[in-house]
Parts: sequence; structure tokens; C-alpha cells
Amino acid sequence: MAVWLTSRVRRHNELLLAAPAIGWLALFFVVPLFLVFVISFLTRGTGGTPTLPFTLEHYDRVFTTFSSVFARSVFIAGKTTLICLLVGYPMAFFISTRKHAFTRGFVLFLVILPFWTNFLVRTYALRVLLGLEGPINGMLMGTGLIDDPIPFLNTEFAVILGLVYGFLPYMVLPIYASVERLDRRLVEAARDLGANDWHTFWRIVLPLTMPGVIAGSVLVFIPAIGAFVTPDLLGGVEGLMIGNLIQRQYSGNGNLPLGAALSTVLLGSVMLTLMIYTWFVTRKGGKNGQ
Amino acid sequence: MSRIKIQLVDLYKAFNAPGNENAVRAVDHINLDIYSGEFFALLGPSGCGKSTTLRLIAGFEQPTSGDILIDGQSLRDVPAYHRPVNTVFQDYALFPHMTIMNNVMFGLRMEGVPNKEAQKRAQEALELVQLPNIGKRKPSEISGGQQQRVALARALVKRPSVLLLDEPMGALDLKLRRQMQLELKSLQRELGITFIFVTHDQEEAMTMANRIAVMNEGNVLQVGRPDEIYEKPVDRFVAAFVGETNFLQAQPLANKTDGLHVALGGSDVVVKNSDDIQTGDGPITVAVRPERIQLKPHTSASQNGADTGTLDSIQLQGRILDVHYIGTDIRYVVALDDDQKLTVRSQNTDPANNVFLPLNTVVDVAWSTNYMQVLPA
Repeated sequence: MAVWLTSRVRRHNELLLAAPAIGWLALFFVVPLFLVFVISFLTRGTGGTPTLPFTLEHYDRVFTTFSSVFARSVFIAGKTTLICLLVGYPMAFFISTRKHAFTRGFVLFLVILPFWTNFLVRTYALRVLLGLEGPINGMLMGTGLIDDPIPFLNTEFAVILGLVYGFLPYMVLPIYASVERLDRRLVEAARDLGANDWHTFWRIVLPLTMPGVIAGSVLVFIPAIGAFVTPDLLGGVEGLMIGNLIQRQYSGNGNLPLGAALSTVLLGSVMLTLMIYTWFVTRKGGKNGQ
Repeated sequence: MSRIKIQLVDLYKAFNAPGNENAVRAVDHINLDIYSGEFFALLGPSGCGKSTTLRLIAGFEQPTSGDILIDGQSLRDVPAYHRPVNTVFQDYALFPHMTIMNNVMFGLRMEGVPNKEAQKRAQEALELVQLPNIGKRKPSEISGGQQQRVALARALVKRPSVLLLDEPMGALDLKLRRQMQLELKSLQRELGITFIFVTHDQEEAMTMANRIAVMNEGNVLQVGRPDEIYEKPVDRFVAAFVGETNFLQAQPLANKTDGLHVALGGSDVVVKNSDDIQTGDGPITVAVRPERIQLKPHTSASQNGADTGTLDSIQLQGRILDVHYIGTDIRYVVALDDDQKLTVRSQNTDPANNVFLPLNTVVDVAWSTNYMQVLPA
């Protein structure tokens, strides 16, 4: 009885510790999320205000009219993730193989340096760089490589460039952490047992740094799929993403229930991605005994 | 045993210490011949270059100069993965993401051995190290001793021409270690593979090796059978590193027909094996093992013989400073007349009659000159 009481009291106290966070999340996350979910089933009234009756028409539109935008968002986020991985993995390896702790620290500092400037400012800077009269076109024309400026802006290319630029650190840092943890003796052991560089990488190095690769991919893919600032400023019509679509429904005389439905589907797919990730990591992690 | 398997030819490896102009000479121009089927130990304190030597043979480091030959073939441009050697690593370096079976099969897969045969050979290797039933487990699910055996199986399954072992017992507890030492030795005899074993534990080296190279500061000081190293150490370092030794300072007096007369322990004693030591060279060092010294209480009967010694033995007088009861032995620390200290181990063979001599007892100590080394000071 006494034991039961103490444990009950303790549990009570622990709950108190979490109470502010729970209250905050309930008020500003769960309730609004629930509202979004409910609104997504309402009809669009005059001026965009949601009214009864309940309808599934927005979901119908999401999966028909806007399915191409969804698909493009997934592709853009996917390409962004892939490019970040291809650029970030060697980069993380480069950093972790530097001999001096100072060099490692300095390069890591360079990786996170862009975070010191506002994301919006950096994206505007990219606009200037990529513009028809920007320095990149100026340089290319100056060296005589091209005669007319290349229209970089308002393309999918510009969007992916902007997203890769913005999210690369999220890929590099987790991979760096897992490369750092990699026991170099395992690489020697593989070579000792007859594995050349290629086999050593695919059989030993990559599997053991996979947790970093997966974490980095999730950290890049999820914000990339919902991005709206970058496609808005760099993508124009060609680079329209789901984030832009949602933003439009919520501003001016948009369609609030449609925006809610788009948000719900986006949230659902992101959660699904995360669940697959968690399943993958716990299964792999359990096997690794890490 | 007579065919040379591995030859280290003027092998030199320097590491450039950061911020230091002087390169660290990890392996300083060593020459070694290791014979086929031999169990060879590289013995020395940490930082003596023994592990670097092993890593040079394995191919993890490139020599600054010099060469390594296996069966007469230079390994100069042969990458680690093409060398006919395999390594058992200090912390085993098992692949954590693979099962034990896949760990052992890894080397065979890299050779392109068909899956079925690789599986059969891996199973045989696991049986060889007496772990036939753990193939499906992960390295994290087995004990340290088992991991050590798996590392051995993973290297042996490749049927290497030379097996390199880098302090493989370092992480095992003493009892398991003793057992593994014996097993490893019998395994080596059974397989006939040349083993090169790196250790800082002189007892381990003596127990297992056919021959030992004692290393210090990148140099090989002495190569020989365990008994040669123990009985005839070439210098003070080897004598001190391998086993326990008394070093006594002696001042040469005169070279006479019966040998070199030196002042030792307050007496004039004759040292026979002193061919290369000239009088007037300054003090010399006499090394004698604690277990080779006879110790008995001083009596008036022994008065006549004391302080001079016969031609073949040295007898001195001293006083017991300290006594340690060890079990197998009783260890006495004796102060000689010139205040030099001498450790004597007397075997505890007859505890009923063994008189435990009290402190400050005046004793006679004696040893045969045959069991004594004269070293340069």
C-alpha cells in the first residue's frame, strides 16, 4: 500500500514536470491541428470562411487537380535530398578525416555559418545571383562561354538549388556524427580480409554510417516537401510546390477548407515517412546493438 | 623451421609529429628473419615500435624506407588486401552489423569463394576455435573471450601464409588469457602457420613463442629463444624487461690470470666472463636473477669461505632489510656491505623446515658466476 502510494505520488510529480509542455502543446498544437482537420471537411462559404455541411470535395480535389503539384513536391524534395546526400556524405567524410581538431571545428563552423543570416535574406541573395543580369550570367558571358544570359530563375533547377543550399547542413551534421563514430579499425580489418576500397565502402562504411544517412535524409526531406519561401522566390510557376498552394489558400480570398485538406494530406504523408524511418532505425539499430 | 618466411630488410618508419621538426622514428632500420612455421613474438614496452612493425607487415602503414619480403617477394607495392597475411586485432574489430557467420565468411566472399563453400569453410573455422553454434549471433551478443576466438577464426579461414596477432589477449582476464595462450600455441603447432605475435607481456611471450625479438625505441635489441633472452640478455634493458634482475655496480680492480678482480659488495671478487671488459673502464654492472642466489644465515663456519668465493661462485655478506611472503617463494631484500640492495627469491619448497628469517639477520648470499651477466655500466 505504502509502495503503491509513493509510486503514485512520484508519477504524479513527474506529470507535473511535463505539465507546462503538455499544456502548451495541447493549446497551440493539438487544438489548432484538430481544427484544421475539422475545417478540411467543411464547405467553402462566402469570402472563404468555412461553413457546414460536411463534404469530401476538397480531398477529391487534392487527389485529382492538385495531385500533380503533390507529385512535383515529392520529386523536388526527393531530388533535393539525393543531391544533399551526394554532396554531404563526401563532405562529412572530408571533415571527419581532418587530422587537426582545429581544422575539423573550423570546417564545421563554415557548414553552419549560413545559419547566421536570415533564410529569407539568403534566398533573395540567390535571386540576385541567379538573375539575368546577375553575377553568374555576367561571368559566363564575360568569359565568352555563352552569348545570351541563361534564365536560371523561375525554374525547378533554381528551387532545388535553393533548397539544397538551405538544407545541406541538416544532411552534413548527422552524417558527420556517424562517420566520427565509425571505428577506423573496422576499415583496416576489411582491407586485411581482402576487401578493396569499393567493397570496404559498400560492405562496411556505408552500412555503419546508415543511421546518419537516414537521419540526414529525414531532416532534409521533411522541410523540403513543405517548403514555400524558396519555391515562391525562385521557382515561379514552374517550381510551384504544395507549400505555395497551402499558403495561397490561407491568404487573401483563398479557400480555407481546401488549404486545410492540403495541410492534412501533407501532414499525413510526412508522418508516414517518419514512421517508416523510425521503424527502419529501431529495426537496424536493434540488430547493430547500438 | 629453417626456411625464411618473412624478412624485414632495413625497415624504417618515421612519423612526423605535428609541430615537431624531428620525425618520430617508430621503427628504426630493423632487420629480422622470421622462419616458416615459427611462433615469433615482438616484445617490448608501449611505444617501442612493435605494433608499427606489425602494421607495416599487414600493409596498414607504408615504410619510409626498407622492405618486407614474404617468401622472397617484396611487399613494397602490394596493398593490404592483396597480402598473404591476416590480422587478429587488439579489440578484435568484428563487424558489428554482421552476424558471426558473415564476419567469418567476409574474407572468403572477397576472394570470390562460392557461397556454399565459404559457408562450409567458415563453419569449420568456427569449429576450430570451439564455437560451432554461434554463427547466427551478432558480435555484441557474445562475450569478449568468444569475440577473440571469432576474430581468430575470421583470420584463419583465409588460410594465411602468416598470421599477425596484435596483443589479442589484452582485453581478456588473467584466467581466460592463460587458457587462450595454451590453445593458441597448440593451434599454431597444429596448423603450422607462421604466427607473429605482438605483446608487452614478457611472460606471455615466453610461454608461447619459439623466438622473441625484444624491441625498444624502434630498435630490435635482441632476438633469440626465450631461454637465450632470459639467460643471456645483451643489455641492461633486456635483462630488466624480461624477468626480474638485480643490477649491482662493481669497480674493476685488476685483470689477473684467474679473471677480472672487482670490488663488489665490499669484497674483492673475481669475475670470469669479462673478456670484453678492460680494467680502468670505470664501473661495470653485474646482473643476477633473484632465484639464482643462495641465501643462508651467516655462521662462523662460513666465515672462511665468505668474502672471497671460489672460482665458480661469488659469496658476499649482507643483512636482511625486508621479507615478503609470496606463497611460491619467499622474497628477501638484502643490503650488502656496500649498501647495494639485492633481491633474493628462495623457493618455498619445504615450509615446515623453512625458517622465515627475521629482519636484520646477517646472511651469506652466493651465486654461481655461470648464472651471472657482466654488462657495460
